[in-house]
Amino acid sequence: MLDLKNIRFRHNFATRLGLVFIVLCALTGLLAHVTFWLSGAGQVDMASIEAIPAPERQATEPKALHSISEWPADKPRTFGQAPALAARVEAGELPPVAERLPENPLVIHPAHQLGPYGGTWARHGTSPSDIGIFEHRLAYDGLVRWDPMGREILPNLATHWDIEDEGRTYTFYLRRGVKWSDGHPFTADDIAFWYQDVLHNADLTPVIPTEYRKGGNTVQFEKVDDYTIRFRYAEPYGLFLKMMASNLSYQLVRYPAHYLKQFHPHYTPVAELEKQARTMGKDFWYQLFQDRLDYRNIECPRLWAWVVSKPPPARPSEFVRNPYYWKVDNEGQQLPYIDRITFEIYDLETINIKAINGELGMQGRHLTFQNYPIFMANQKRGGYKIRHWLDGGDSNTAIVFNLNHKDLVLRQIFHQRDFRIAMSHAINRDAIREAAFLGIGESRQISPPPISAYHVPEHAYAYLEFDPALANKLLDGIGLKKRDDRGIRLRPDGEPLLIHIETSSTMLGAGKMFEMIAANWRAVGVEAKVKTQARQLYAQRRNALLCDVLVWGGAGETIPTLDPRWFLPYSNSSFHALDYARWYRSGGKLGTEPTTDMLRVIELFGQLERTVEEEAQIRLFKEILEINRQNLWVIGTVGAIPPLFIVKDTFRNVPEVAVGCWPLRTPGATAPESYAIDEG
Amino acid sequence: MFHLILKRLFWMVPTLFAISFISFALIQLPPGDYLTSYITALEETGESVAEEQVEALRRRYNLDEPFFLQYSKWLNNLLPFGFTRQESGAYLSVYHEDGTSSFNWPGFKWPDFGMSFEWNRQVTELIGERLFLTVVISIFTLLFTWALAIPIGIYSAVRQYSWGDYTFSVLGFIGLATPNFLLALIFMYVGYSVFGISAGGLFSPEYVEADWSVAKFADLIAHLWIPVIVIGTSGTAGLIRVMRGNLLDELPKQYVMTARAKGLSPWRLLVKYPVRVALNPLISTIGWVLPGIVSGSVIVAVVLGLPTVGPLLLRALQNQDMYLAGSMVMLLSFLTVIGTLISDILLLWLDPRIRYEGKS
Repeated sequence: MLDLKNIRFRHNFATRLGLVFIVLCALTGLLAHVTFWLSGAGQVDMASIEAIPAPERQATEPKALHSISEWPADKPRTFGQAPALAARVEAGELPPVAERLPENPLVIHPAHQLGPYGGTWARHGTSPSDIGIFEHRLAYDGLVRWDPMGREILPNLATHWDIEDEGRTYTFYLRRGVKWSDGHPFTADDIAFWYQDVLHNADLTPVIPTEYRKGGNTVQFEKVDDYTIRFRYAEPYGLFLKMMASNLSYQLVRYPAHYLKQFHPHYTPVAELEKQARTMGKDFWYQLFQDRLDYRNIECPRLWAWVVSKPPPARPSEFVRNPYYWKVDNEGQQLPYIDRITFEIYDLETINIKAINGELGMQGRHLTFQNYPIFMANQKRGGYKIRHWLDGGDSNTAIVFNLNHKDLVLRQIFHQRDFRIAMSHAINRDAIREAAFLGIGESRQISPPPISAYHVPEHAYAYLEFDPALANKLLDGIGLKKRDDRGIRLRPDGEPLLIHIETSSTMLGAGKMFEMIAANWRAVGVEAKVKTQARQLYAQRRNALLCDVLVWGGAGETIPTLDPRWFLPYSNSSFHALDYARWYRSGGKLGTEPTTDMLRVIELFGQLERTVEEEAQIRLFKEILEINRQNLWVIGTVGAIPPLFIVKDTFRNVPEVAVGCWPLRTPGATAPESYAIDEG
Repeated sequence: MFHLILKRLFWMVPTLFAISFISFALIQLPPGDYLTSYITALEETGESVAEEQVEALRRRYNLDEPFFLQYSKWLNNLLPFGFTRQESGAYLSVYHEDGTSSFNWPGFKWPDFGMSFEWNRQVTELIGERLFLTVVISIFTLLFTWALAIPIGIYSAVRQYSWGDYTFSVLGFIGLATPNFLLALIFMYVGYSVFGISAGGLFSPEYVEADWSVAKFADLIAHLWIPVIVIGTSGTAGLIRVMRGNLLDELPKQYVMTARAKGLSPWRLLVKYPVRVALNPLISTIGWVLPGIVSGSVIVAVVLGLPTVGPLLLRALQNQDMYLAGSMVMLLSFLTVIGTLISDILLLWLDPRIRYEGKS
């Protein structure tokens, strides 16, 4: 029992000290042991690591991909549908499936098997905008679509098209009888609404995208009949069809005129709209319009395979099948097979743990490459397979020198071709591959990958050898020979040559790589420091032309003509030459005029844009690559890191190999509507 | 005492105004705005946004207004007394049907917390949805902390330098020294690899979407212990030390000796006098518990993927989602100010010494 007499300070200091010491030692030992055990370092068994099959990185022949065809006109219109929809037809809530489908539904021959219907595709994201990616990467339903390998453009909402007048006129023939998700017909009027009331509305489109402005004029649009539309450019525009397949066409078929007219001042008085906007906490009609159009609005009809039913912040957010979806499989069963897609929002690390636990349906986004061995080791336990797709160019890391630097001395140094080549030779890419990418991938410049029709090995593999002696020789040769007592080269103005490799805090998680590059550069006498900063600050410094060296990812170089940001000063993503890009974008009104070689590249790209034939485009692009090889404006590091996808064992029709990159809206080009979940 | 409370209430008003200005300014202070962070985030995952689209977005979010205009609009909407926004969009004038206009006199209205850019929803709605689970977790954690820390603290003080005291002290210091998020990651990994509990979140996948039922509640409890322990450990450890220290101060005092001499049983004496005095610091920190209940342990909640208010605030601050962040900071400041007032009143009521000091 408690006795207050014993509440005394008992003196035996040495004993107590000794005891505490022993306990602490024991605890440290225990902690170290537990950490060691948790890290799994003790269980590493080299045999099992070697038993992990090497990823098929360079497989060019995919084993199974989906293909498409048209529903034969003479085939009877007997279609199947999901049981849940059949029940709704029975109850009189929906018209029969044959009435919901268009006159000639698009037929998808799935990669592996037909059906079955049902199941939930669970995906996780780190933020609400990750769920917004649905429209781009999972729906991806435009007039035309890329095939899964990025080689061919396939019919989608358009059944066929004509290109006339050397690429000035494009006519698209729409699939007849396609319906929006509320059953209203989709016709040329919807696209006409987009053209007149969205593209030509200064509030909704303050600046008309360059893709629609060629030869100084905005593209002309014509509705030929209900199912035929025509675009006319003032000058030939050879990239239009590719642009339609990647960026444009799924964005111009997202405007259901019959629904959106009630929110547009052309059809409804502005005062009324603004009144409505205010009840929703907004100020202007265009905010209301865009809110109604947003993927989160459950009322807005769509053409997608799944439409939102529980928008974020619902946990989970949910997309359910669109009963009016206009595609069938080769036996006439209406797609999609999968009932619904759910999204939850978690922290990046949590998503990775959940992935290992087998809680994802099919997903590549946010899988950290550093966890690759853990993903592989847990395949059986988590009930999933890891698919290694082909890198379409996104995986490479571009190291670029700011050619428009505000600091004149640095700018002059960066403009020296030999400086850039020396810096490329100074990088030990093999070591980077081992340390940061588990030995996977290959050293490569920013260039179209081998799977691309534009691949030029002379450019892709130029200046890659790790050769500090050559680098030193080149640097000595351009007036950077003098060094200070630390061995750092002196700039022409006598200052030590110090450059910062700048990156934003969360990018790529390849901090290790940047530190290694900095060390490589220090070894040849260029003092380099890695500077990690918050996104916003990075963006600001970048746009103010204050960064020395910038680091960013590739841009889907497998089809390099769509976003040639690393080959010419193309856009505000061409971080090496932002001021030149301003000049290019503004037609010479803003920014700085580029150097001779860059002007030549711009001219070649202009020619390429006016060329329709793919062969000629490729020829011109190879010329662009040759000039890039000579100048090396952008330094590549390690590429061909396979995009990883976790695919649940129950998933069917997910190809073993396809190309992964943003121009193909991966996995959009592999027809997610044909994926199926087979629990049996 | 009534006078004191009135005075405190009066001073709350300028304090909150100052907080509102500073927090709104701080949120706006970093370079860039919501849009820059939105676009760079997209670019980091491989998507690209065309310049022309950025222009459209900038117009949509109306981000180009000057700071003071944004601040005064936000503050006006936030207050229960101010200018009501007219249908014309104007705040200061009312336009009549006959074409004339007159001054819009300020009056009482519903506070409007504004919209979140990222979620495209009303701030009140967003917080409201997450409030229930947040409060459940916080209250469980608080109960866990107190239920564990107070008895252990008393024990450690009464049996100072015993084996038990040493054990608890060592455990306590480890608890204090281990970062919560690390503990969360370890628990998550062990929970998954040993017990097969789904990592993160508050429900197993099969219950996430189910309606509330006994089974779902049981599932919640099964998941709740991880966040409760993780968030609770450092608090428990700290509290044990506080409790022990305070009690050690009280135990050798004369009144304890006197009471014991008069024959009061050790237990009754302990609970009735020294423990009561030792609880003072607990009461005076109740003020911090209130905002903690709403936004506590942000990092742990992020790591564990808890659907609570904390991660919402963190993201809003990172993305410069200024109305969401600003309104939440205001809400938390309000709760802190109220909480401090409550703990002061409680102290006044509990401890006669403070009351007497106030009078003299």
